[in-house]
Amino acid sequence: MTDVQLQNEAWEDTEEDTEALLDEWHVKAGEKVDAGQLLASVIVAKTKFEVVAPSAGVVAELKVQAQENFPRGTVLATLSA
Amino acid sequence: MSQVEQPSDRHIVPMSGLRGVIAKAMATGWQAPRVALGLEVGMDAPITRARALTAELGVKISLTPLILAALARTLTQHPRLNALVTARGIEEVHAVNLAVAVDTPAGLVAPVIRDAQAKSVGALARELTDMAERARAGTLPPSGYQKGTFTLSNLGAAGIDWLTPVINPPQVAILGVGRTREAVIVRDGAPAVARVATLTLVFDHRAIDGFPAGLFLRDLGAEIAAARD
Repeated sequence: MTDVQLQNEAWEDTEEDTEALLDEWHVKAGEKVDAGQLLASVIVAKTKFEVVAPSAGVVAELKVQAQENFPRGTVLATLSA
Repeated sequence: MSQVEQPSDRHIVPMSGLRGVIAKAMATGWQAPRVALGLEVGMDAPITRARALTAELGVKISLTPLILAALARTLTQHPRLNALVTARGIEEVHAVNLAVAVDTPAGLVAPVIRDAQAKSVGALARELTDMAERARAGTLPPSGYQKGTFTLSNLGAAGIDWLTPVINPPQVAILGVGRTREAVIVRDGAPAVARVATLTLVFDHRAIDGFPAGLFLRDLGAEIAAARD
């Protein structure tokens, strides 16, 4: 299993209690993805980030729903090989 | 996969993305028991100063950095307006971190100029231009929108006379600035033409009362009209 998280750069120098918004999922659970494929659009404060697949695999689970907020360190999804 | 089905007789803009973020912040800001105070200020001296600075620095200096400098000075004297309402109470912040409302194709954003009290008008102008450009391009990092202690919304460019902006939570107050216009005023007992703008201070009455907020706006108006560096 590979955990998918928002890249660290998005949290850089942000306030302790900052939460990000999972704006949109571009994949569904069970979908096969390539390494680097766009998985989710996320907004932190008012900056947009794209979360891509760290490796090829199958989306095992989406752990944060679209339009939900999440704190740093949150696993957004898991990929199985 | 938030594809919205579009009916044939209208266009539906989803309340997600930046629009959704703005909507949530506005709804939160609207919860504050707010009061608006207005003041007309003379803009002749700031216009003259902006022109002189433009010639001196070789870059276009608008009225906004002059207003920011006046805000930073006045907020330092009125710490209750440079504050946040949080679960801990009213947090008066020592640094003046000015959020400036900027219109972008995606919607309203408010990049923050930190430690404005320590910056010259020229430095404020450069930083504002840089942050506004990066905000419009979507390349300003999240931290560039954080730690604001007070917000300026200058809608002069839209041609309106005055506005009552919504407080940018958890901040205590926000200043709205309308367009600079010619008006007939009374000077030394006789009518005269002067350039003026209307300032509107909207504040959270939980954190500060009307009289001290009024004194802040009075002092701010005097600082802007004096157009010091």
